[in-house]
This record gives sequence, structure tokens and C-alpha cells, in this order.
Amino acid sequence: MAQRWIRLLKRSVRNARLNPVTSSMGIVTLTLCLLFLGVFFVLFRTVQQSTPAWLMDSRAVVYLRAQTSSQELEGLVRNMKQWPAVQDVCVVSAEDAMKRLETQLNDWKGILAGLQDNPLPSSLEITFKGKARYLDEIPGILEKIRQFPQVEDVYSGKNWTDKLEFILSPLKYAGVGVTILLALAGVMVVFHTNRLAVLARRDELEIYNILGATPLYTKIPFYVEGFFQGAVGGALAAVLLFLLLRASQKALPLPLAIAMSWKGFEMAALILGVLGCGLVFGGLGSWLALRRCLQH
Amino acid sequence: MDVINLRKRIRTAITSGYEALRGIIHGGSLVPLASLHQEAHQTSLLIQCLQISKCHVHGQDVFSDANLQIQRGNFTFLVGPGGTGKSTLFRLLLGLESLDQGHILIEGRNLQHLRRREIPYFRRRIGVVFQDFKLVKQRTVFENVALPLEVAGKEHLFIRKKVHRILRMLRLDHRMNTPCSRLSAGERQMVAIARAVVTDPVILLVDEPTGNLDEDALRSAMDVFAAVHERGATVIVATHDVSLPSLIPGSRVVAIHQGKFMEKVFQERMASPTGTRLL
Repeated sequence: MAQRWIRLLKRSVRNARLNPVTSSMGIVTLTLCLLFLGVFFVLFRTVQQSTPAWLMDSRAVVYLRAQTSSQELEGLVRNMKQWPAVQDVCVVSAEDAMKRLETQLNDWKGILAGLQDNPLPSSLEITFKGKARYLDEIPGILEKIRQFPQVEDVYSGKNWTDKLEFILSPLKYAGVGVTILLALAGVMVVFHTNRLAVLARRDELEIYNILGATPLYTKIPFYVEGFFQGAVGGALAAVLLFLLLRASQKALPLPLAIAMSWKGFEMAALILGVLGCGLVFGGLGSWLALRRCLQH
Repeated sequence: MDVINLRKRIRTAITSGYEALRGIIHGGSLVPLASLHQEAHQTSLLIQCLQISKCHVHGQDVFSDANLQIQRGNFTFLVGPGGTGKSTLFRLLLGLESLDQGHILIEGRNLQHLRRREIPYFRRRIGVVFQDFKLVKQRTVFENVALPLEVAGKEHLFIRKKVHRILRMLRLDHRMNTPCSRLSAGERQMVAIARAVVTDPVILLVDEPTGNLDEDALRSAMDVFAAVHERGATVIVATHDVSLPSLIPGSRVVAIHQGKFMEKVFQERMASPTGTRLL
């Protein structure tokens, strides 16, 4: 059994060697396709990750003056929690805010080392109840909060959410559309490469058929070829994407570089994802080509 | 061993029953298949073409209500000018083309009722030498001859031994590693013959063996066919050369004429100095 599989694999390699130009072109095109897909995913994720949570939800952040005492703070929280539209009020101290910033900066947190004092103010994070009747009350509540003497400034997601929705919504649809298009392009690349290979070897396949080869025996080399193309294309795209991200960290301005920085496991997941996409495209393309060309 | 035999017998019984049922269902005015199975087993009929009709794409009848029965172990020559349907019959026997009407039974099994997954295993029992050889040109002589054994999943060592033996027999061993594209037409035909006989087929189909072989090569080819026949295989040689049957004494000659099979009486009127007999 093992011998048979080895023979089949050898046959696949030999077949791939028969059409080196077609195979290479297929791999290059698939690599580009997967690279675009990866870049698009990275950009999409960056946009999503760069948007603060308070801009996305029905939340507000209240920045307090530095001289606000703890009693005043407790009074404010107690007061706000009694309002019907408010679901929760969370106190973020200046120290907690600094810790959060350090986590967000990730590899870049060294830039904060030069600071002697913590410049960040304490704040209150207010979460509003999601019901529509309360959402309409938010502008009035924000105005009320601004009147408190302890409040320095108020940022609300309510105004921004609409604007962001306006920008992000078409972007999301475009993202899904582009992803589907790129995936289809990847599958089509393998499909056409394999179809050409099948057509080039049509006489040989007829001979196998006459000699009593099972469909599996005939098809396996083409599947192997498809998976091979997918794997090589995926690997090349993953390497290129990794290098591109590394280069972008050095070339882009700091805020963008921070937004595009990936943690170790995230990077590994991205690379595995691109590789997996390559394999799936390879398999799917081969399956379609064989289904189309080897019906009889 | 007993278990294997028992399993085979049960499988045959089930298949026969299934075929018989199909015969009853599809039978009607057609052929009662169940009785044909019985007949096939009793009389050692290997191939039965029953009221077969086949029309070419351009509408010309190749076979029209034709009948042919070939016994197990027969050496049959199928004679007739080009275009009479000899190659078509081979393609029908291999299940590469389908009939318009009628039935073809091999070892009592109706080809039309074979399941798709059974067809490859059925074809492995038939060796074929095509008129255009059907060799994989970019592969070597060894690889081409080894192909049917590889397809059947034989062990590498077994394949090597078997292929070497056949190539030695056909005096092709010195060309073993030559790609088939570099061979002469005669050599290619010998490779095609080697590939057809390497599996010890139950049925050997040979299409026009005289076209590309000189007299000596033809004799050695016929010797190979005779040897395969002696081992118990049923050999069918399609040829337009009516003198060819004289090379195999005791062979049966069937002519195809106007879409029907016609038995030719082979008479030994006189022997030529070379030993060939005339029709």
C-alpha cells in the first residue's frame, strides 16, 4: 500500500515536471492572489482594531479634572448610576489608564519610559442601556454631565458611531466582496492550471482508463499537484506578507505602525491562515477541474 | 482459503440473482438474461453478443441485430475490410462505447449492468493491442509495459520480474529504457503487445497486428498470441488480412459483413511452401 502511494507521488512529481511553465505560472498567480487576500485582511483588521471601543458602542468617556477628590468621584458615580439610561459606570484611575496604554503600545511601550509623571487623567467610562428610548436621551445626559465642575471633557461614541457606521459599513461589504473575489480567483487559478494539465495528458488518461485504472488512481496526481501548488503559493504568500508587515513597521509613521503591529501568536495564526487558504484553493481548484474534465 | 471461496460464491450468487432480476424487469420482448447466464456457465461461453446494434454518429449502422458467441479458450480472427466495425466491437467489449440495442455478456455478466466501480476491475482482465498502440510516448518501454501491473497495484519486485521476462521474450530488453517516442512503428507495436499480455489476461484483443510488422516480427507476435492462447486465454485478432488466420491452425474465423457476424469455413485446401494455409 505504501509503495503504491509512493509510486503515485512520484508520478505526480513527474507530471508536474512535464509542464513546468504552466505549474510555475499557476504558483506565481496563486501567490499574488493569496498575498492580496492577506494584505486586505491585515488592513481590515487594522481599521477595526484601531477604532476604540467607546466609539463603536453606546458609551461615553468622562475625563475628570486632576484635583477631583475620591469623595467627589464616589458621589459622581453614585449619582450617575441612578439615571435610568445608564447601565454601568466604571472608574479608570490614571494608573489604570497608563497600564492600558502600555498594553496597547505592545512592543513600543518603551517610548513611555521617559515620562516622569503620569500625564493621563482619571476617567469614568459610562455604558448606556442599549434600548432605543434610552439612546435618544444620551445627548441630554452628556450635556448634564458637562455641567459638573469636576468634569474636564466628555467624549461620546454616539455621534461617532453614526459617522463610523457610514464609513465602515460599505467597507465591511467591500471587504466581504473582495475576499470572495480573491478566493474565487485563487480557486480559478488552480482550476485552469489543472485543467490544462488534464487536457495535456488526455491521451495518457485514456490509456489508464483502458488499462483498468480506478478513478482514484487517475485523479490522485492531479489532486497532489493542486495541493502542492496551493501549499507553495500559500507559503510564498505567507513569507511575503510577513516581510511586508515587518517592513511596514519601520516605514510607516508611529501610530500606524502601532496599529499594524501583530503579536506572535496572531502572526502565526495569520501565516497558518494564508497557508490553509492556499491548500483549500488548491484542493477545490483540482476538484473542480477533474469534475469538469474527467466526467467520463 | 475456504472463507475466500465462500465469499466469492456468495458474491457470484448475489450478482447472478441481481442480473436475473434485471433480466426479468428489462426482459419482456428482449433477452431473458437469467437463462443466458445459465447457458454461459454450462457451455463455457465467454463472450456473447446478443442482437447488438450500434450506429455511428453520422448515422451509418456498424452492427445491426448482430449475434456472436465466443467460447472460452478460442482463438478467433475477426476479418473484414477497414471500417466494418472490428475496432468498434473491441471498444464495445471494453465498455468504452455503449450499445444502441442488444446485450454483450462476458463470463455471463452483462456489460451494461456493470456498476461504474466494477468497470476498472473488469478491464484489467482484458489485454488490448490497439491499432494506434496507445502508448504513453514520453515514458520508457519498461514503464509502458509495467503500467497495467502498476494500475492493478502489484508489488514493485513482481512488476520488475514480469516486465523483464516479457521484454526478453519479445526481444525488447535492449530497448527497455528507451522512451517510446524514439521507437520505430514495429517496435511500438511489440511494446503494445508486451503491455497487453503482461497481466496474463483472460481475453486478449488485438487490432490489426499486421500493419507495422515485418514478416519475422509478425511471426514472433503471432507466437506470443499463440502462447497466451495456450495458457488458456481467449484471443480475438481483428485483421483485414485474410491470410493471417492460416498462421494459427485450428483458429476460428468470423467475418463482419453488412453489420452482421458471419462464420467463415476454414478449409485446408493446400499448403504453401512456407506452411501457410489458404482460405
